[in-house]
Order: sequence, then C-alpha cells, then structure tokens
Amino acid sequence: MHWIDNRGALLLLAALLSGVCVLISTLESIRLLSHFRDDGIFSWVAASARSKHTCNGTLGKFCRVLYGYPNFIFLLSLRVVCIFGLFLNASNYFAAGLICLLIGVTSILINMRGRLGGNGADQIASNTIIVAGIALCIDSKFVQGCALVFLAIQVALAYATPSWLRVFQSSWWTGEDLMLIIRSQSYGNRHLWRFMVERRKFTIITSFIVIAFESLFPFSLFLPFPYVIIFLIFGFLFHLMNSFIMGLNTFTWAFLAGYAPCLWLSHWINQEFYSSLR
Amino acid sequence: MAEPHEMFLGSLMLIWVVLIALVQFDRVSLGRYDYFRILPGFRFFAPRPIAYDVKIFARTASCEGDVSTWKELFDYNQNRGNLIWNPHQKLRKMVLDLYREIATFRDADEIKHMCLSYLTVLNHSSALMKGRKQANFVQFIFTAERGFQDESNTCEILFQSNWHTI
Repeated sequence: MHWIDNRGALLLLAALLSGVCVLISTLESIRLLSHFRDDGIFSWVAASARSKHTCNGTLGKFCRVLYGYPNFIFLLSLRVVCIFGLFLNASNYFAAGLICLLIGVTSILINMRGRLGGNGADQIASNTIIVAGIALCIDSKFVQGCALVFLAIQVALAYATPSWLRVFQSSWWTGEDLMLIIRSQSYGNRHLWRFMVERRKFTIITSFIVIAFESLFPFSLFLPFPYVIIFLIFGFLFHLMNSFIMGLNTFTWAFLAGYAPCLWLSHWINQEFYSSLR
Repeated sequence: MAEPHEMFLGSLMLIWVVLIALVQFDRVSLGRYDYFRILPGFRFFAPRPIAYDVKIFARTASCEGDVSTWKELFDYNQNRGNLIWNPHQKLRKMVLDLYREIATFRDADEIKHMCLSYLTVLNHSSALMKGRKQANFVQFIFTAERGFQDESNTCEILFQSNWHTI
C-alpha cells in the first residue's frame, strides 16, 4: 500500500503532533499553577460565577472538586500521563485511539473550566485528537476518510477565515497592521520592528505574502497532487517564524498536525474525484 | 457501502465541521451554545490586530488617604519567541481577554463592578496587595503601551476601577 493511502498512519501522525501541542500547553499551565489559586487570575471561584449551574447544587460541588485549587493539577497531570501513553502505544492503532479519546475528554473538561485565556491552537489540537481517536478506534476506511476530510477542512478554515477578513482591510495591504503586531511587546520583536521601520517595502511584501498564502490555502488542496506540498512547506516555515518571532509556539504543532490530512485530501481529490470526471 | 454506524459517525463529523465553518461568521450566537468548547474561532489578529500591549496595574490606599505607587500585576517580560516553551503567552492572552470583556462596561459606571472580569482582577489585586502596610483599599487599571515604538514606558489608561475595601 502506498504511504498516502495508509489512513490509519496519517491519523496517528496527526494525533501524535496534536499530542505534542497539548502536552506543551498542559505543562505551561502547570508552570502557571499558582495563578489557578482561589485568588489567582485563573481562579475557579471567579470563573464558576459565570453560570448558576457551576456555582450551586450538585454540579457546582462536582466542579469545585474538579476545578478548584489544588485539585485541578490532577486533571492536568492526567492529561500529561495520557499523552505519554499515546506516544508509547503508537504502534497499536486501537489502543492509541482509546487514549486519544481519553485525552479528548480531559481536554474538553479543561477547556470547559473557563473560556478566557484559551487560544485557538488548544482547541484545534483537541478537536484533532478527538476525531483521530474516533477513527482509529473504529478501524473503518470510510470513517477514517471522513476524519481526514474533517481535519483538512479544519486547517483550511483556520487559514482562510482570518485572511479573507484581512483582504478587505487596506491597512493590511499597506503593511500597517503587520507593523502593529511586530511593534507590540506581547507578540512582536524589537529587532524585526526596527528592521521593518527602515524597510517599508519589505513589510508590504511580507504582509502580501501572508495574506496570499493563507487565503489561497484552501484552493491548494484542489491543485494537481504534488503542488500542495509547496504550500505545506511554506506553512511550516511560516509557523516556525511565528513561534520564534511572535511566541505562538503551540500553533506550529496544532497546524502541523493537520498537514498530513491535507496531503491525503489533495491526493484523494486528484485520484478519485478528478479521474472520475475524465 | 458504509455500515449504518459508519454513516452515523461520518455525518457527525460533517455536522461538526459545518458548525465550525458557521461559527466563523457568527461567533456570538453559536459560541453561546458551545459548552464543550469544540467550535474554535479562527480570527487570529483579524480583521485588525490589537494595536497596543495591555497591562494591569494596582495600587492601594490607607484609611488616612495615603496612596501607594502602581504595581504591575504580572511580572512577565516581553515576548520571548520559542518553539517549545512560552507559558507567559497564556497570561498575556488572559489579560487581553479580561480587558476585552471589561471594555464593554467602560462607560457603565453604575454596573461595571458587576462584570465578572472586573471581579476576577479585583480578587487577584486584593490578594496581592493584602500584605502591604496600611493597605485598606485597592484600585486597578488597564493600560495600553505602544510597544517598541515608545520605550519610555508612557501609557494610556484604558480602564480604571473604583476603590474597593481589601
């Protein structure tokens, strides 16, 4: 069997890369554990007040046990253990699938704790793990195909949504908005900011390339098969730069996890869909 | 031909991905029902990025009226880009999310202290300032700094809380 037709292996690869994303995110939360205390900024006492169900009654009591400080560390630790379990059981699709589902459950529980402070990478990664987990457990070519399509569309949407919004903003085309990001201490870099101030053409071209890459990404899946690889290599370099410049470390792993499904979908469109049209 | 349970799972994934696509258009309505947080929003820095660094400062006052200097609540340095490790990014995102929520109450003086983000920051600043000498009251502010463009540390006050008893 050609490697690209091995749907189980591609799903497992996606799950493993998402596992790295989730592992980093969880360890970072553990590093910030003191902020999860009752008087911390991620305090459950404050977050629970968002719903009457989470501050009163049986559910409230259950949530206090699960999400309160220091108990929350057990949920985070359970997720870390599960991810290591996934890495160790990667050779057995069914076992890996079950562990993925367990990671998915812990991820949903962690994400439900509070909607503030989370980022898109965590959500993309947990969706990837859940879908890959279901497909690995079922061991059906049809379900695995559906899972790969889901993951590829998720990545395509993640690229296309912000870029299609940027297309209508003139400040992106002039490089002004890219400068605003690089200027900030939160997501920017002093050296790059100074470089960009002196070279406005470089800023405009970079801004244009980012918009072009992101907005054209969904269409790359319909190109003749090997061409999608060019987009994926560019995407990988793009995320690598985002990690080093903007500090968006988990996004690299979350998006990388969706690249194998994109490769498969592009191949499938070429192999099955286009050939049926001929 | 796929089995019924395979069709069911395939349809579930199809509905899920359609909902993810729909939530990009209307985050508010659909997001309200996203209890499991499985419908991510993909508006990264779009349509316009936030143009400044948001920080939170707090200060105390004594019963006699002596007011302390401002203290920044989170001791994170500027962004240290790294492929593997960047825990402070979570704190920065949290501060930004808290400000986004509080900002909607900026002009509502009578009810702004009832906003949950307001109470979260108040809870944290009170705890941090509790140990200070003669700290009877606490106040916090959200500020905006223009990053590397203005390194003189001048900032604009985006939001100012009332004084609260510690």
